[in-house]
Amino acid sequence: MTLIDYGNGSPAIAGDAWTHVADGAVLPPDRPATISLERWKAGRDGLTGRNLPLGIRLESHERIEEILPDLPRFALIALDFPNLNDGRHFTTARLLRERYGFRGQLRATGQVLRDQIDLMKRCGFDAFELPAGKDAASAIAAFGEISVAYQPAADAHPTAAQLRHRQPVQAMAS
Amino acid sequence: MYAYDGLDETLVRERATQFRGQVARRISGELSEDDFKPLRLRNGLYLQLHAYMLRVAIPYGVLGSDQLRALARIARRYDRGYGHFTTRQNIQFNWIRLADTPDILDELAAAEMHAIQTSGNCIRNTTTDQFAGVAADEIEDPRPWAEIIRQWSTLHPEFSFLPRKFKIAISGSPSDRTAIAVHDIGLSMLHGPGGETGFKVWVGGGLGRTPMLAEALRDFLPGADLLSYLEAILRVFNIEGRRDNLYKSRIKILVSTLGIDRFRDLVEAEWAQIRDSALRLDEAEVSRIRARFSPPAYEATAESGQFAGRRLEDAAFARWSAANLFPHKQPGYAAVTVSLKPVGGIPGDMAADQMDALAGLADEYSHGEIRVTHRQNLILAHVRQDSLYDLWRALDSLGLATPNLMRVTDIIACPGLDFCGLATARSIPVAQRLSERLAEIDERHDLGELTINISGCINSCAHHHVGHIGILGLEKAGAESYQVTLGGSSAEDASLGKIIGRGFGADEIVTAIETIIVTWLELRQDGERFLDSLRRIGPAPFREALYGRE
Amino acid sequence: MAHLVITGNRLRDGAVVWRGAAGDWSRDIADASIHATEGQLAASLDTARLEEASGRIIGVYEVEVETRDHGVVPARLRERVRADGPTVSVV
Ligand code: SF4
Repeated sequence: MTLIDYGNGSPAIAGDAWTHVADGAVLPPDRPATISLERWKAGRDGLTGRNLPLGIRLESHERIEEILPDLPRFALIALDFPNLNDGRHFTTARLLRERYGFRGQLRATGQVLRDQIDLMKRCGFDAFELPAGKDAASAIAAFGEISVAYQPAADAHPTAAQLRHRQPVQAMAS
Repeated sequence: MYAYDGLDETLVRERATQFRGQVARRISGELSEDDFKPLRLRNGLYLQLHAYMLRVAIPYGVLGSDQLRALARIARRYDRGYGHFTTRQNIQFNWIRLADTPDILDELAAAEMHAIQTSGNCIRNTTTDQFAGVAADEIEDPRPWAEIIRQWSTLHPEFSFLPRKFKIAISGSPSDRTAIAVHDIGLSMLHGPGGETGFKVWVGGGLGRTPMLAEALRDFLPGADLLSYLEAILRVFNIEGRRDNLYKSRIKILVSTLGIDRFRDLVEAEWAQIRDSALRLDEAEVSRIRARFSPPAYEATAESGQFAGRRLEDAAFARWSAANLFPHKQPGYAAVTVSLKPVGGIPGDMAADQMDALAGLADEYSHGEIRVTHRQNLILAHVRQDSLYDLWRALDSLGLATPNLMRVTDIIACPGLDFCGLATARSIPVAQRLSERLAEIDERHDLGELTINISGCINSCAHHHVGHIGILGLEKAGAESYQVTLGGSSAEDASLGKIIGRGFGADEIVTAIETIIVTWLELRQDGERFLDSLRRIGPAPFREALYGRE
Repeated sequence: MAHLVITGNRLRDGAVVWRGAAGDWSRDIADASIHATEGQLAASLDTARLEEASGRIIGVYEVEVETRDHGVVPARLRERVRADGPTVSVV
């Protein structure tokens, strides 16, 4: 797995400070960790004392709406894409950014294809776990392949309509 | 018609470049077929029985003459000199090589065209009335709204991997020529309480294995809210739609499972959150797009006496005029249907030479604009009545003047087993034999409006459920078997045809349809339409004629 | 067991091809190698699938054929159309 970080607005291969912890396994004492939604719902009491950043993983059928009040507890949310036909988390990502105000890392996991990254980015993802064997340089080149956006989304990209009708900015006297 | 600005052009060029990279990665082996297939499918490239097929988008069916010439060039250079117009107002090329597709997309981009989202589980080409801007009963020209939807839906980041494909139709007239009732979303324009224009919104129609007519979702949606409302519907579908079963993944299944009221509650709740967002349409942008569709410069001509005279003199011209002309809101003009259904021909096919010639005729007679209809014919929308005779002669010499719009030989047929990898039976040869057999009966008895639709499998690309007579080709015990439905309609009186009985073999189907028509002629009253007779008398006489008193 | 041949489409142009005895792929079904036993077929299919993975051929599968006077003919209409081209002449 290679992690591509887009957190500061330009994509780069990054080391991963996080550990995805399987259900039932012990959380590392010294590293930020993610747990499944199920584990969070079942045993959050045991987790509350921890002083390290916590992340949560959602499978494609799971809904973030189940735990909205808990969102401030998470520094990272990982949304899984099991295959190319399951696009539910494109919606989840937008809602997290645009409606629920999530500011932490939003990470795409699973079958993250190079050719979906531009779309994921527009939906608010800022980290991408490339499956093993996929060319990271090629994935980085995929950012910004399409520079025109026709519709508003979670990123700050101005839409075509906004660009067309933008009032000319008055030059400031210096 | 709409002309690209720099942004539209950049997007289409970047998309072509992106696809070039995807093809290169496939050919080099970096991408496996499993990884590549969904990518090519999002760009209209299918593998059919004999070659790749490329489906090129013709947004809401409107083409400029230079675009038609570009299609002719592509047909000659990269295909076998012809193209096939589809019921989604697009064109397909049947003999494409994978390695050529990047060059084809570049040529398309140069002509302001593309293949974006002509397949795959995304929002497809929005279709509209082929007489948009022409029909006298029109509330407003729907094309600017279709273009607004085109832009919003193009490479939509959230809705590019939906549970299933998604089709939207929009009609500007009370008489529906867009088959709103069989679309995932249907929009019909109307005036709101304050006189402003907006839409009645329908949802959940569709054909295929489980045909359903759409239900009314909202009685009035203000125009400015169009995109936020569509986004709300698509968002509910993306989250709630089924992904576990291909045959249950269309929105019609979601709507019927939840019930329209529950579905409406979900949509309205979502809409309330996004209605006042950047999705609200900016009047400046709507005006910009509307201006692109302003009517051409009509000349003030009185209704032409010459036109009436020619019809008296020339019976063939009179017949064509009666069948293929549509009244134009501009006095002295007519909209002409160019039939791609010559008797015995392949429905919707057009040779490159015919495309070039028609582009020339469009320049000469119809302000350089051509439209594609969902009946697989073409339209020249703005022809002066005093030019009709000359135009007709020119079309006739090209084999494009069959006088049969909405008649029994104007058959809608999908490519079927001669080309399509999903087919269970052939459709083209059935269409050819039927039109040959029925042309003569029509000539003798004037059958009036009678539509026949033939699909080569349950995917129903030829919309057989809404043909007055529908034919579905299946495979039974290794042989082709054709199931007949009667009583479908896609007009404002939409209905789904009902299966008449057991299917017919390839050598029986033409005779069976003839039997239905001959039976009807004996029961027909005062020149009524087949559909109206059927609605009056029911299917029993036809069943008896086909199967005897079983 | 029915007689079987192996087919696929060429990656570059999508053309229908049939697998010959020497592992070559031919446009003509007459060149196809005919398998009369499960064992033979399984071995050929395995190698054909490897070639598929290497990317030159896509969608490899087996097709039932009958041997008639004028040569090998697929049992199903779909495969006859693939072997002979469309049954209608185009414009
Ligand atoms: S109806 Fe079936 S056979 Fe016809 S084009 Fe559609 S998928 Fe192919």
